[in-house]
Amino acid sequence: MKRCLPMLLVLLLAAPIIAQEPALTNQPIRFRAVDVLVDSMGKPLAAYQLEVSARKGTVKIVGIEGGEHPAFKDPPFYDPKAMQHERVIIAAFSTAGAERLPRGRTRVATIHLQVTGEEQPRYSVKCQAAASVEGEKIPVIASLEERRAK
Amino acid sequence: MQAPVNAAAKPDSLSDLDLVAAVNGGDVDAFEVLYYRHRDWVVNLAFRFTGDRDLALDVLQETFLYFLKKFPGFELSANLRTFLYPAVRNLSIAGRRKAARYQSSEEEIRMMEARTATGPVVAEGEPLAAALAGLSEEHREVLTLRFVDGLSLAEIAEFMEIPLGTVKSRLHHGLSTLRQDPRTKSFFEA
Amino acid sequence: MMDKNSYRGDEDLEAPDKLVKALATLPKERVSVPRHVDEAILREAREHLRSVGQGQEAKPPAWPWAEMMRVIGDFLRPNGPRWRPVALWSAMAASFVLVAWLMYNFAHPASSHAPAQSVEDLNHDGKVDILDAFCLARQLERGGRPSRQLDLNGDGVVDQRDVAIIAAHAVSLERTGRL
Repeated sequence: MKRCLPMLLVLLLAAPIIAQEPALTNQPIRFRAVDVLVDSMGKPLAAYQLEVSARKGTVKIVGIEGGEHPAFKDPPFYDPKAMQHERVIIAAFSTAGAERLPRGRTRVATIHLQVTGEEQPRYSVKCQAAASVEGEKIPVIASLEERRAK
Repeated sequence: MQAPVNAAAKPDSLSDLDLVAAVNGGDVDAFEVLYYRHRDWVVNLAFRFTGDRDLALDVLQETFLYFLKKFPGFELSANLRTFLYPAVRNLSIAGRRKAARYQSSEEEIRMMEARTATGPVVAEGEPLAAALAGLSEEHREVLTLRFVDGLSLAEIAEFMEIPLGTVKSRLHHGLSTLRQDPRTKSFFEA
Repeated sequence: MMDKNSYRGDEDLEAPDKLVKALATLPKERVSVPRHVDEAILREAREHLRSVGQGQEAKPPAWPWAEMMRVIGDFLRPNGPRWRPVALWSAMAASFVLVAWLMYNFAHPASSHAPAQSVEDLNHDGKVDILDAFCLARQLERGGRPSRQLDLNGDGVVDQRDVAIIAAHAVSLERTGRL
């Protein structure tokens, strides 16, 4: 028993290293861009918070940029630790007046990904919060669209 | 994450041969110099083959990872671009085929293949570019390597991994076509 | 008789200067490489070449099982070092602490919801998210005087920097318990 415990400790400490991916892979690597879209169904969209993740495939987030509407053209808030991982929470708000906010379906951000391997990745998005001008919560439809190679 | 070192600010006096020797010893900075030295050439060559910016960036990454896997023990016997060129070309062809698989119909696949085979979109009022676009990809490639990139015939043969005679034949055919094309025959008149 | 298109010699392979100049000046679309692509490639290079520099063959990182077993075997030998009993007991104690810590965290996962009484929960909905940052930003924009408790960075004023702190907390992956 006494002899086993040091070995157990070593194994526990070694677990993260064993689980590490190899530095180089023979699998193809490609970059993809995924547009994040929010439809506020006619109401002015002033703030949103979304969780985006890859459910399938070996995917790493390598960049995040802002959206198409001037109210959300700057990159959203996100945790820098999400870089090189497959999950991120993005959020942004605008204190502009209702007339200067998007009302329909708009691209609020674009996430750049590094995809390894042949498997086609699958993504999911979940809305955690959305609000209109005075901070009142509104229902929105969030979706993702991968930009295809031309 | 460590910020990438700006290799352009480093002394760039070492030859590719010296840099490769250093990379064989594990010198990351030497690889970085090689990367920045040849990066734009690789990505623009890939763009010439694929006609698509995203695919060209994918090919850029795959080319340099393919190159990286050769270390340690890589021996540079010629110009580094002679080694990189076939990799870029083959990866571009593979990338185009893979991109075609995303299309849903045979018609779209044919259209995409035809578009990339004739080269990038030609601007209006560019007769020379239009005439070049009408050449087959292999003839256009030889003409471009010879008269735009300035390679010798022997270098072109090495790049494209074809016999010297084939290079000469394709070059002759390409020039002959341009000579007879009404849009470009004026270039051949005194 | 040779076909008029047949190749007669190397003089047939030269292009007139006019054509060469025109080819050189054809408009060429250039691709610029985004920084994140450079960083991804050079990151792979650093990982691969690190092992090359240490004199090892470049291979995927793997725990050297044979070497590890040899070291443990030497350590557990009957005629091992005198400090062996102390080291053994220390290792046992560390193992227990580690297991206890893991079990505690498993039973009490980090929650994405801040306690309802958190000062950052400005809209009092029981959680801290971007709507709270938005709420503070609106107050500041309209000239309101937010509570001093919202001086989250302790610089003496409640301003956009504190808004950014709330927003950072809202999107933090660690608060949601998984990276």
